[in-house]
Amino acid sequence: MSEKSIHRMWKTVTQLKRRTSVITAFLEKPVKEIYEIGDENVIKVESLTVHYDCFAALIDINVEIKKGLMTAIIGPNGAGKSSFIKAILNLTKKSTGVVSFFGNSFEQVQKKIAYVEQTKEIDWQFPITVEEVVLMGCYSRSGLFSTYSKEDRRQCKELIKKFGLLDKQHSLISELSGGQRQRLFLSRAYMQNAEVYIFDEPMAFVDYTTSEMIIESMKELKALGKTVICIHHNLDEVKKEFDEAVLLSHYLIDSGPVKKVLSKSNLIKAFRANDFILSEVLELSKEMESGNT
Amino acid sequence: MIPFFKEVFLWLTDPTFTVSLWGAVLACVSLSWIGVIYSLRRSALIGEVIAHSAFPGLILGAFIGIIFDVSSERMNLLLIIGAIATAYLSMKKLTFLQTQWKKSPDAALMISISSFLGMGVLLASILQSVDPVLYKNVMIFLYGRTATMLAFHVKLYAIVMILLSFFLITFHRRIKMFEFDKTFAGFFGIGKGLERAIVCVTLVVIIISLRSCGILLLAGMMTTPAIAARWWVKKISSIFFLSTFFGAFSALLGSFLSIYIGGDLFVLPTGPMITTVSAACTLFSLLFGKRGGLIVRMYRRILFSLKCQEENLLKSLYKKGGAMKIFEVKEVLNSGALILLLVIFRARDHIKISTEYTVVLKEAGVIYAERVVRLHRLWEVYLCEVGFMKHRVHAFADEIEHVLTEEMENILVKRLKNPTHCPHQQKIPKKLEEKDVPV
Repeated sequence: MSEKSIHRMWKTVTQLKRRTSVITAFLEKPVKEIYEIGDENVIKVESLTVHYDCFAALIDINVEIKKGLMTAIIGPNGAGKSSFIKAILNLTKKSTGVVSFFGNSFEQVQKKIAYVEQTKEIDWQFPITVEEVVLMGCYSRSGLFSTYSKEDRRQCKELIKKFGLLDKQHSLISELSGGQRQRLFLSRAYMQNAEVYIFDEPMAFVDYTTSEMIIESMKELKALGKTVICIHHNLDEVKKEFDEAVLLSHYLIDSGPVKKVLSKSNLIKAFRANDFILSEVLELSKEMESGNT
Repeated sequence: MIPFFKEVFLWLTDPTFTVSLWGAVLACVSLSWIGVIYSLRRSALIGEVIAHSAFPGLILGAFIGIIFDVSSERMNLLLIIGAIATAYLSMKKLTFLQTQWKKSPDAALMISISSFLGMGVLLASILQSVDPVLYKNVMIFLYGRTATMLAFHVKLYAIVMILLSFFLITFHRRIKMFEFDKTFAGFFGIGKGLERAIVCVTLVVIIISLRSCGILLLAGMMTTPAIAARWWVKKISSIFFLSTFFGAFSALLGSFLSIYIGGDLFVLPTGPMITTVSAACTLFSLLFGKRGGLIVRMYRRILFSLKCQEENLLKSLYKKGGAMKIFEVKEVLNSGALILLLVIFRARDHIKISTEYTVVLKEAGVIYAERVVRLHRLWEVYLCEVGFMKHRVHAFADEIEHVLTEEMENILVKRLKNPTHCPHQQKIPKKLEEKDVPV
């Protein structure tokens, strides 16, 4: 078989797979049920599918995330981990699927969710001080002209001190180092006093002390009864520190307790897609479909 | 000098000029506020897009006016509505190019600007043959003309500015949050609504200001005050205040100069004059700005190098027993006569020049020199402890001794357990407080 015919075959297979999955996901779109607050599931994701142009990032994901536990989202690069989080937070468009928080829609509870985004997504030359960024966390509690109460300011100072930014309190964020930036976002999330904390790769580009600090603060949040969801790459650390895991590779491979998810067969299934030729072919088919080549 | 001020006073109170003057000031201040918002977003060129793409709208408005044969007041309204419509269209096109066609921002900007301006120029040439008088009126918008403004215009500018200031005061925190981190702001429901409000405000302010500033130069008036302000202050509220000042100042000075320079012979156009003045303000800020202006940085560098030279001088005086001939000093510093003079002048509290061309260390100088030597030797001990070779540490310490602060010194002493001798077996001078305490 020639190279071209392989491409063509792969293309048709992927297309078929994608179409059927979209159609079935759409047909089986479940009717939204009403859950009571205090349900054990904080987030319930049902038949979630996300497309970018004609490339499917996530296909038919069904996951339940339990309250008061630390859940890690793992998978190879480009497996749709960030897309998963962005889709449940309504930051990207869902093709199909329903996501419910505490049985409610996202809009009803969005103030109870703290999202710590990747630090590279921010313009760090923005003229704003560390204190102002942290105070943003309590925006929902601020007054008419967005004035902050004394209690909030005190809490803000405590958090800045806790995360070791006290000497930078009044300096611009452009003066912060990579680890300090992550800690700044952490303290802002703490300030929000939310129920669910979602982290998008907090351990990227940070040193050992900061990553320790992040893990410690996640544990602290868990002890307070909050739910923590985190994209993580270090599987050893996931095994050690987290309770639950969601293993993604475009499809949902497994979810549940960490020990069950991180079995050898699951990992082979997830990371096999990183095979050189396969990824190359995938890339090519993507380009051909979008009409770039 | 006195006749000049007299002229300024006359000009400020002259009823024929006050209208145009206030018009320019109000327009420039409102524009500079909008400019701050867009400079935070790093898309200051949006002003250029809106202004340029308003041009075909103006002419389309004029055509509609001709077709329906409206009165001159209604014609003004039609012009403004047309301008707003095409400006809005071009902004839509801009976002479409960026999000749907994935064009880079600069390419999208240029496509929008050139296509709309080109269309405008084509339409204008048709208008010229249809109605030359109206064409001339519309062409005012191209460069702007403050001299022919009426009290009505000034009132309009004032109302827009007051509304804009209310908007900014009420929503300043929301705007800050939205511009800094759109994702985060989205969690508090700040997003599309605020974006739309900002777009509306921008459209209104820019279209209203076209009359005084002109399509071609408006973007300059919008961005330069914000950029100039960022060289001086760091907080957003301060940037707003300072850019207000820069905007008002350049409008005042520009309007004045446009009349003063020409005198009775000719009148310079106000718009270009204001832009030139505000560009001069930006250049001034670039050179002298507190936050990293070129001259300021150079000044600080010179001060630091003089401090290093002074400390070197004191150190070698201390080592040589407190007195040195002038030519020896020159050799130590390895510098020209001017630097030598400057260093000696700087160190006047620490040294004195006796007769026979000798430099002598004062008592205060001894204390200062001891501190420098102490820092030098402490750093040598530290480097050796970290693993440097003994013969290499001297050169490093020679540079670091000027930088170490007292806080760092304390940390070093604590970590090295208060050493008494440097790696070359020379005594480390004690700290001043330690000497006073009898052991």
